[in-house]
Amino acid sequence: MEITSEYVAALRSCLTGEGDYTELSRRLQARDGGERSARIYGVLSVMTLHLAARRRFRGGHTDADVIRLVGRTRAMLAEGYEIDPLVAEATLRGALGDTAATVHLEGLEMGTALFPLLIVLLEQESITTDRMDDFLAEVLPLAEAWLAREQAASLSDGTR
Amino acid sequence: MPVTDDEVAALRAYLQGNQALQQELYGRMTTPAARARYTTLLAAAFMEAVNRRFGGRDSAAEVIEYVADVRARVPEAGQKIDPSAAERLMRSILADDAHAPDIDARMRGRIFIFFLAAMVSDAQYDDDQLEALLTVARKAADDRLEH
Repeated sequence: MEITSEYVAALRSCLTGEGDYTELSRRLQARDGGERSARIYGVLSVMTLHLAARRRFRGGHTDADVIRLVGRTRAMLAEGYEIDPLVAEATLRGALGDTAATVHLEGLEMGTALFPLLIVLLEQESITTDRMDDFLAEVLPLAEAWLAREQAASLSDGTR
Repeated sequence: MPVTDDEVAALRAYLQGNQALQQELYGRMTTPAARARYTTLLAAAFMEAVNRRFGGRDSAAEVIEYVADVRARVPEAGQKIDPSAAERLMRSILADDAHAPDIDARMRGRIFIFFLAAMVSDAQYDDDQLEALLTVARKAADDRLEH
């Protein structure tokens, strides 16, 4: 699976509000199929959260940091967009390397929390529209490596 | 039967951080009726403290941030608190909602205890102010027990 520039453009659009995210997303689904495009976009988004969270807490983090950041995120959204605080905390812990935190979470649940968290993390790291391309350029190889690992694992399963 | 002096004293001891006295007084509440009165007093104090903390304004953002802040102060205990339940409980009080949110009794009690202590500590009440809070809570609890 290749992460083409259109996927990066769709994610950029979603994060910056520039361009027509809905149209970009529709085109990718039509071209690559719903499941495949969702997988690629999902991995790209998760790796973006991973890198943003690592940057934000580059000196390490505590449980209190996670709770406060989720609180800040949910307060910013207030009643406009409900996210479960415990799901959001687990999603953030997962992005920071605690793989056990997300074991019981569904992809959809995490997806609901992912973008609001990402928006706050990017804002706190001052990654605004003009710095977004550089940031996403750093995310891309991480996401490609992740997908490559997944593909290798699935091939290896298939040959057993 | 209305709230007793010992029950108020137990809550006062808890809010002043006198755990030994609180435990001793709570240990004397051996009947279900006494425990129910204490829970009613605790709930009434929580309601009063919430209204004071937020000035009676129902602001989702303020409540969310406060709940997160208090949980973050003691993350180990905070992990045992359902933040959504705490927010719903506080907001139902601020919105003067007659229908209490559906939260199981154990979690509800945990929320009362955890956040009441935090709100009283944040308000930095002196003895007179704490007494005033307890007086209001006792009256509210007595009213509720009477009906």
